Amino acid sequence: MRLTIEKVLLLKSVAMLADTPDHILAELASILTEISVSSGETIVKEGEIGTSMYIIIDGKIGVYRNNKKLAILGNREVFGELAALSPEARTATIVAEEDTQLFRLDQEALHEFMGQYIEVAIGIINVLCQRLREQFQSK
Amino acid sequence: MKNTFAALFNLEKGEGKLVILIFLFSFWIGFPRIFTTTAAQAVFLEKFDAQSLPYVYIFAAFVNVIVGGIYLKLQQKLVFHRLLIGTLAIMIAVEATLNILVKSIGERWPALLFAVWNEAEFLLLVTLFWALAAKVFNVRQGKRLFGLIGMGEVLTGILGGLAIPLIVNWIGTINLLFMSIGGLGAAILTFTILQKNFPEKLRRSQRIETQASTQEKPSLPLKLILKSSYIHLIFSLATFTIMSDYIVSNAFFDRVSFRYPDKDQLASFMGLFYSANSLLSLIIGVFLAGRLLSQFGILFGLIAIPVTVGLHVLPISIIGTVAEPGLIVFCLMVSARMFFRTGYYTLYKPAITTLYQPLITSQKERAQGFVDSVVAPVATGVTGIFLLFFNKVLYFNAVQLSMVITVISILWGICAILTRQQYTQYLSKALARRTLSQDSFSLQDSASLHIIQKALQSAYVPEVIYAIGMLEEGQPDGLDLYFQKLLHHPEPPIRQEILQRIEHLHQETLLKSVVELLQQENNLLVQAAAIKTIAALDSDNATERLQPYLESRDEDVQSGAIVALLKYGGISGVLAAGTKLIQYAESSLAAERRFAAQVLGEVSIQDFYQPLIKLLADTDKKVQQEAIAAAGKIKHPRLWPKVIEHLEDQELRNGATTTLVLGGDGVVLYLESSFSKDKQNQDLRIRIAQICGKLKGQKSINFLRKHIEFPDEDVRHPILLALKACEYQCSAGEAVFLKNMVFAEVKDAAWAIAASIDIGASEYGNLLQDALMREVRQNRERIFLLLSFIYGSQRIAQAWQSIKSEASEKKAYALELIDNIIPQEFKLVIFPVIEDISLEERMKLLNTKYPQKLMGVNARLKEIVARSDQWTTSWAKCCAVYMMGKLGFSEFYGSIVSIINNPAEPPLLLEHAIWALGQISPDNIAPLLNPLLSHRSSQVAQVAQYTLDQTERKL
Repeated sequence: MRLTIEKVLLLKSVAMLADTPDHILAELASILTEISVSSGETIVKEGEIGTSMYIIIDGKIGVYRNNKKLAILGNREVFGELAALSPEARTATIVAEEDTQLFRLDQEALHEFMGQYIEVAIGIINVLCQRLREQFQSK
Repeated sequence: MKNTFAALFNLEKGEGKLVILIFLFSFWIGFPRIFTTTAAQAVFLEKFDAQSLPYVYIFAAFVNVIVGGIYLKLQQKLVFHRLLIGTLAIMIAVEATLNILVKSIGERWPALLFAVWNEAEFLLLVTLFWALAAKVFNVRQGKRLFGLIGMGEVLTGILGGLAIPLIVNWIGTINLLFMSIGGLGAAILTFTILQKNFPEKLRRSQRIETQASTQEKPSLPLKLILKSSYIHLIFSLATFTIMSDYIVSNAFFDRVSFRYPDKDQLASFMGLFYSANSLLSLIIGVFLAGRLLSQFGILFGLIAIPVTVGLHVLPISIIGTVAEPGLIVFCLMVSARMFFRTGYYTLYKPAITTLYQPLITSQKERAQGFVDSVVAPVATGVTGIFLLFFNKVLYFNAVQLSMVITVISILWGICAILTRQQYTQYLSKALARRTLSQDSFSLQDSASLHIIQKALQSAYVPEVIYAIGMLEEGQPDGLDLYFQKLLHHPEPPIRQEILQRIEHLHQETLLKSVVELLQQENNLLVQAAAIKTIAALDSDNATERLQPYLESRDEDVQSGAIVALLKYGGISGVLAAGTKLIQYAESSLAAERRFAAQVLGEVSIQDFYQPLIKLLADTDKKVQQEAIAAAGKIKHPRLWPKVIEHLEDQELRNGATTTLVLGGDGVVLYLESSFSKDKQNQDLRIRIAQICGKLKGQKSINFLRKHIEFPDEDVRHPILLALKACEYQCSAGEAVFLKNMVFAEVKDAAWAIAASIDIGASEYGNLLQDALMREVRQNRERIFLLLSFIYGSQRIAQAWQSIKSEASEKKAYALELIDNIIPQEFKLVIFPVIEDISLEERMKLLNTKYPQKLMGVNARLKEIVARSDQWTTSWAKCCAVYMMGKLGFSEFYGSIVSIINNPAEPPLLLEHAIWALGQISPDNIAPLLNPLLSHRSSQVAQVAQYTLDQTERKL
């Protein structure tokens, strides 16, 4: 069981939320859902409609498309933000590479936070820009 | 030692080296001022006589205009460092040439040339020095430091003046020019060092110039500058200064030469006078000027000379009229001249230089250059002519001249007051300069209509829809023809948009076209829109025409038919469609209830609110969401309490907020009643305040104003923000109350600063320290909000935005603006809170008014937790409780238990207090925690259970 303040300390180390003031993170922490997944468990399935984004607290996940591993994400990294911003079919399957703990943030809450706190919106925009850059570079 | 030096000279961190270099530069350029002037006057008086000096002023006026004109041209073409070094190099060359000319040619004209050059050189040196000062210091630094840096030259005056008799004995009068040449060379060297050590200062200025030249149109025409009334006032001030200077000087020499007819006596007196004058200037400039200007503002600097001179010459005028001018008149005249010369460099010149700061860069330099190189020489020449007229034609003495000075002083003072008033307005403009203005768009001209027609043909749907909106707004002739054509647009969203516009504008002439469209249309959304439009245009036959669509299997078409018949179908339409709608509203299927809510919203008829009450309380969230959205369209007062309840639901509160804002000021009454409920949820209160801020209007203001002192900081802050959004301005009667609130905020900031120092940086303390610093930032914001209610929201809001920004230049402007708006009583306490200084410095400055006692970490933690919610946020308390839990000292037990025993405390605080209790005293905590197992906050209940389990396991 994590205290809100402990969640804040974890969220502070997530790049996307690094510039968000602590009291806002405390609010955000109160609406996050903490989930645990076992190694090999599928978190997100390609093609399914999703509305949540995830923050990896402890563990590792693999990103797969057409059964091909595209990337490995680790502690404090974020995934699923596109679906949370605009519900759509998931573009990849996410599988836990080891026992992993995650924070899940649903679309409604994310939208509200982005609307209320510009710092959160800027953080999300930064993540999206980073993804775009990575895509351009890989092409 | 360093700190003492900085405190003595009112320096801030990082300014020391720069100030020393500028001071040195001022010292070196003082060389030509003292040595060339002495040599020029001596040589001139040797060849001519003292009565002929006004001729020098008149010639100098012409020469100065030419030299000034050349300087202005060069200023536009050269970057500043080249202009400065180049000008100083030319001065060296001219001084050397004059030395040769005077020595080798025995006639009178080189002496006249020398005297006239002396005036031109003086003008150029002053212009260069203050242009450099304005470049490297910002407006705030200017007020503090201009007095000090100008003192270098005064120091040269004291030392040089004392040394002149010795030097003249040694090398002769004309060779004093070599001293000047040496000084000018040293000035170039000093500037080169400055450039090397502070390249960013000059580069920054150049970058700003470049930005200004691209953003503000290249090279601002002089004509435009001369149109500004503010610039006119600056020019007038310069003119009055010069006129007073020469006339006071003339009156002074009149009395001095009368009292000391002997040349040697007069020279001795003048030596003493200049020494005393320079020394006094040094003392005032170094120790007082910056502080006086900082404390009393720019008006003090502007008005000091006219007032003091006026107070001297007025008695002279009176005494001289009734009696022979004797010792009293002499003393008053000497004193007037002394005050003039001292005040000019220490107070007046820095204030005048500050006046240029709000102008845009290109305007600032051109105006400054124009004053120094055109206004000043012209004023000098004209004053010279007047003086010749007064002396040679009217035979005025010091008494009559004093009367003239009295009149000029009064006009000068009035001009200073007017300039000061415009200065504040210009500072506001300087801050707002980046605001874009939007021109309105009209369809009255054919060019605009042509643009719209072009947009209507665009391949992009949003562009066409935007153009349709513009068409509807502009209502040009033949609008129905445009719409008829657009009904056949290939894009369905555009056909749908046009149908909605036709329905809205009730364009009956298009009924036939719409009916034809419905018969051919394949797109279901367009069909639905066409059904509604037909009902609107032909309500008499609506039921008959549209009833078959009520049975459509498509949701959009059926919804269109229900909406059309309820809105336009009269009794028969309501009966037919209403029955269907009620069926859906009472359906056991959530999708059908959702459909009913959607349709009710589209119908938007207030009297149809009743089914919505039930739908708002539906068990399905999606139905509730639709019902909330529909409530915003129906706007029936009985729906508001139900919508407000949904503000507490995380999934529904966004929609509820939007709906309540759409409800308009009729909602405020219901919001207030919910806000005022005893033990109402803190989060709900915050949301209610935010909604009122969006609603605006007098009702919101009245409600928010009533709660402006709300005893919970987390709620009070959004209330003040909402009042700001409502553009609230207090009445004169309320101002005193709000001023006291400002002082209370400063006092609280002083406490938070002291608390932050006590907590210090540590593994567990960092989070709390951050929270306390956030409290200070919130104090600052509330101070600005309150000031904006008292002194006008726009200017203060601009200043606040600039203070928050990273740009130091903007910050400096903002602080200067605040300095000019708020009264003295606030300045002393507010500036330590808003200026960029260390915590320790803030505390030191605030201690005089709000003394704080430093204490140990544990005592401070207990104090934070026990503090009233009015002044400490729940987040800061939460961080303190967490730190207590981490430290684990039993002395915190009482503080923790007092939180746990009050279940009304915010859940965030309770959650951490429960955990901290488990850390500090795990024994026998069940009686304290059991009541919290059923707390309304699931997090609190879970932490309570978890803590109990953990302690049980340990035991």
